[in-house]
Amino acid sequence: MADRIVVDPITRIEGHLRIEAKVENGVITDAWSSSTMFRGIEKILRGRDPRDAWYITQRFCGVCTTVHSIASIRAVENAVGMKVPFNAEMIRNVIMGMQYVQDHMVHFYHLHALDWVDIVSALSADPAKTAALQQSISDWKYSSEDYFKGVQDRLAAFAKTGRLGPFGNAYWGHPAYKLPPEANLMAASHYLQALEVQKEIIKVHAILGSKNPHPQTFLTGGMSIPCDPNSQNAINADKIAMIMECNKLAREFVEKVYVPDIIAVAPFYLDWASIGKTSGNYLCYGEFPDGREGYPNNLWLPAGIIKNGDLSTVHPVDQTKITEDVVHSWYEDTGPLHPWQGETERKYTGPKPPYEYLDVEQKYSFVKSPRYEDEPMEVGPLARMLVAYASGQKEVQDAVNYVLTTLGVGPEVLFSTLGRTAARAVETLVVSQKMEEWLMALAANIGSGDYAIQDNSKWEPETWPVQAQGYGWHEAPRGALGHWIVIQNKEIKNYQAVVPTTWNAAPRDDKGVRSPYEEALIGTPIADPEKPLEILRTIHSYDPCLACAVHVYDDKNELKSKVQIL
Amino acid sequence: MKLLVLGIGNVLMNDDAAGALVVRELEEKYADKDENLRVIEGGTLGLDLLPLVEWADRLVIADAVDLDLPAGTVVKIEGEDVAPVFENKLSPHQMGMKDLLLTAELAGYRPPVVVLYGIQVKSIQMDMTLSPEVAAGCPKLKKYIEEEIKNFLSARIPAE
Repeated sequence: MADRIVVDPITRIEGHLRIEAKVENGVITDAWSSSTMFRGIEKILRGRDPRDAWYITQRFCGVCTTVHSIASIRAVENAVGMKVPFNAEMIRNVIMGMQYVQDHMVHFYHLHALDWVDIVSALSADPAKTAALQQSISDWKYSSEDYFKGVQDRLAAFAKTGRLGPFGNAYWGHPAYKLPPEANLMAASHYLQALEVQKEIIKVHAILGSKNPHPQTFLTGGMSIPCDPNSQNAINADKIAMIMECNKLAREFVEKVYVPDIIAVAPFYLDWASIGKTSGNYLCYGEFPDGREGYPNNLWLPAGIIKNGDLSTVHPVDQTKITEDVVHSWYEDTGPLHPWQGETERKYTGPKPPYEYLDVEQKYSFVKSPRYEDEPMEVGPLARMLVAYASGQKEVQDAVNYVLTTLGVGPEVLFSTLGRTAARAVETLVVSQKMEEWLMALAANIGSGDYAIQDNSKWEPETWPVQAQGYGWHEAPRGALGHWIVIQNKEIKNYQAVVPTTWNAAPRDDKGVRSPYEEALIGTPIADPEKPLEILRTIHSYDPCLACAVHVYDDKNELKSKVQIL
Repeated sequence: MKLLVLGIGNVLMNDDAAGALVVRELEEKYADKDENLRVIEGGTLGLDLLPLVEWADRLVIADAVDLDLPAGTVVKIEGEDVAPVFENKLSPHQMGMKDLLLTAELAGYRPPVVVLYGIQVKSIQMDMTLSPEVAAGCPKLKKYIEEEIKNFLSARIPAE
């Protein structure tokens, strides 16, 4: 018996995500991923000054305020040939690195963990046993029976109000939850601790961005934060020390809580090491320039492509091989186009809402289908860790091997939902451990008397060619992000953003080949079609754009609030 | 007593931007007026705003709302009645705001006073201009937000 289940919306930011899945005999046999919200971002940029694009693209995403700024300034730098000074590269590394750590932490604890951890079950845990469990996994400071009793009381009081708040509207008690109550209580307390930690560490963006939310110090050719110790608001020893402190806090939490949690929880969910596989193609643009040669040379996380799950060969990335197809997307048909030629002419042919199902034989999404050499590619932390692992990147190899050895499993488990979730934790670990090095390099460079922070030789549009085109890549926390820009007569003529979720959440292409979300759901067991928790596990393992969109929830309710019209 | 005025909205999504734009206009004017006052345009961010919410005793939010009223209508919603407004589907950021308030409550630092000044949207799509109706309602929204700030400041600094 076939049954079609619909999960809509899974996430809010960057468009609503909708999954339709065909379930036969308790297993998903086919799936379609759709975003039903149109974004005509590219059109907003046409005719504007390329140097201002980052300020507008910053608002594309409601969560990561740095990622579209970085991709945008890199696109302009690439188009007109700016060379970013070392100080600015290191500051960007620290900003990007902290975005990884904060975003991954928030994603895991405040979105994804609730797919694995039953908060309601935590209410019946024995605090003494929870303390013993905590003490067995690391020497983290919050591990006493009293502490866990306190957390439990707090949760109980909150539950009593009748509003579970961020824990409302979930599938508590679902048979796919496997953790004992003590592990659930431990994880619930880490949920609360992670809230506090993320709040502290993101202050780095206020220090380096002069403002958070929405850091303001990005600049094509460098950064606008002075390095000269004689100037006001310069990066100085105090500021570097403050950032070091934030990073120490982050690193301790990742080493003593986040990674141990993954290792402690994984054995209960090892079946998820064979669920959530894609076709085995992974794309990484590479990130974090780690030497004096400057971006895109000597990237700490290497660029590369893995095909068909073959870790013995890493292929180079050639941006000319990227296209976007719209056969199943609600746009005027153009055939596959490279982003420089990309068009965004809306043509909605889907059903008029409210509707039951999309017509998946026709166009069914506002997401385009990006392809590399006509192949779908998965992007994100798993892609980055696999490319680094296969390239022989030492820190990543050590961290991945540590986790695999501790769990007693081989690298083949990485190609899965569990692998995706573990790779994110591994990445958070290696990045939080690396950050101090970039800060020291920055301090040493300023100390040597090099205050350069921007290449302004190409700042004036008069210095640009009449026609220029460029691309800016950034490995955002969610994966490979690319902005493509065409400049004509000093203005933006065309602009296309291919975001990580476009790669992962795309509909099928012109050959009917599924994209990563669609492929990853095939073979997933569904215990209860009314409560498709299993779909959420795999989709959330990709970190679909909004960390706070924790739940599937109801459409517009009747509002009972008292509203005073002014 | 600490007052946080938060403008919420996606500045790329026409009418959704109204609250953010109104607060942005006030941001600079009140930037250094009082150490216990912060006026912030928060875009569409959810949890990133938690440190600010924790800091505040009185939270005043300016945001676009969809309550099936005539476009541009300005409304005031207080206390317990605020959270349900954010439950309803409207724009990408709403989920974040709802979670932000509830998470602050769970973490034990929801500000004792929460007031939402909303403005009824006409349309929400990718565009950087407001609809004429909402643009016409913005001065009124701004007036109420600024009154909150002025009342706060005059209570802080007794007239001599």
